[in-house]
Amino acid sequence: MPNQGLKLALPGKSILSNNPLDYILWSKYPPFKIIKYGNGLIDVGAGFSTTNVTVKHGLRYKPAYLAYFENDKNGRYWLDGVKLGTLSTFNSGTEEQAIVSAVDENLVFSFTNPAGAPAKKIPFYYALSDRPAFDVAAGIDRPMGYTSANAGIKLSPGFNVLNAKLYQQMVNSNCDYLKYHSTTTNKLTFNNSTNGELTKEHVHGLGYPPFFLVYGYFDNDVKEYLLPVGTVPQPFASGAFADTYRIVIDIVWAGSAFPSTVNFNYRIVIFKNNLLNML
Amino acid sequence: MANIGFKFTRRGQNVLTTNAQKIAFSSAYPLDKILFEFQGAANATKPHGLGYKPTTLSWGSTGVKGVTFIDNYQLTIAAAGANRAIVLLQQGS
Repeated sequence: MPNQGLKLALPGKSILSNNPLDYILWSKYPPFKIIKYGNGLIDVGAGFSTTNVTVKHGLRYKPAYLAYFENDKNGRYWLDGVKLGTLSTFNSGTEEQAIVSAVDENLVFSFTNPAGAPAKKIPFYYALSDRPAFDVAAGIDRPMGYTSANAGIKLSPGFNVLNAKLYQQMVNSNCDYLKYHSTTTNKLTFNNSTNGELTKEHVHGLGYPPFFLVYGYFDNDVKEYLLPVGTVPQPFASGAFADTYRIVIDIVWAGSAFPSTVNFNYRIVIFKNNLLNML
Repeated sequence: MANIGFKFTRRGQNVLTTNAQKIAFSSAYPLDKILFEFQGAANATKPHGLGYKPTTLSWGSTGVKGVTFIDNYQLTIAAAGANRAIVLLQQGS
């Protein structure tokens, strides 16, 4: 690539490097921008029921988002998806489920209690990106976003900085960014002596619950899944949560024939962004 | 974090802060850069050519989190129906 645009190399790295990981900024690779944080509460009734809470964001497109649910205010923040907090059962109506969906100009936070479960308070936390979660419909332009004021620092290589839309801006000090902290890889080994559910914890040392993602795969499958996932089509269920000092991985093997030994390999990606300190 | 290197705080925040939430960019915080965005139907693939598994986020047409497989060479849209994925460059993966 020609050396044009904006580049800011990491200390000790050459500004002429072709490795994007040598850079803090390179306009060829826009950073993952966060234009809004938010949170709310789902008040879930007792027994098998689903409660939805709708949050209007008004962006005119479905934004990419990251979302986490706290299970009954216990300080554990789970990735959104199925199998929140309890992984020992698999069937609809007998397991918890926390799902987010981007619908038109809303985010819908949904929590399903299993049969026999008590009423709960389910706080949720989210971050919205300037990137769409799905192609923007024809005729609908993505707006400036929440932070359109011409104050602060903006950099928009290739676009007029005075009217560049948020997604055309590389840097805007009104926004936050996904800030990488660390990656940890490990595995859980299932064998005949286990009951099919294993957990493992990893200390992150941040002192607060961070944004995080977890990817995993079983032996002989080189493709990673983003957790959490249910049992279809893959033969395992999974979940993960963060608290103030660790990330905990919780995996259930759900294959029809239990193998003698199988490894669940996983990768935890942790960001410095604090779930509870959204500025 | 020491106050050396390059730092760019969020608007209104003291540049001497060490709170990661108040810092937009810093030479101590590698940012998650977007390699590409890809939208396709089930089983659609796109090579990324990185030689490692990058961090990937995906969403389905209904707006829920999507199912996308990633290996060292390509991205595969797995779920029925269209999905959109954002592939991030990531250190240490």
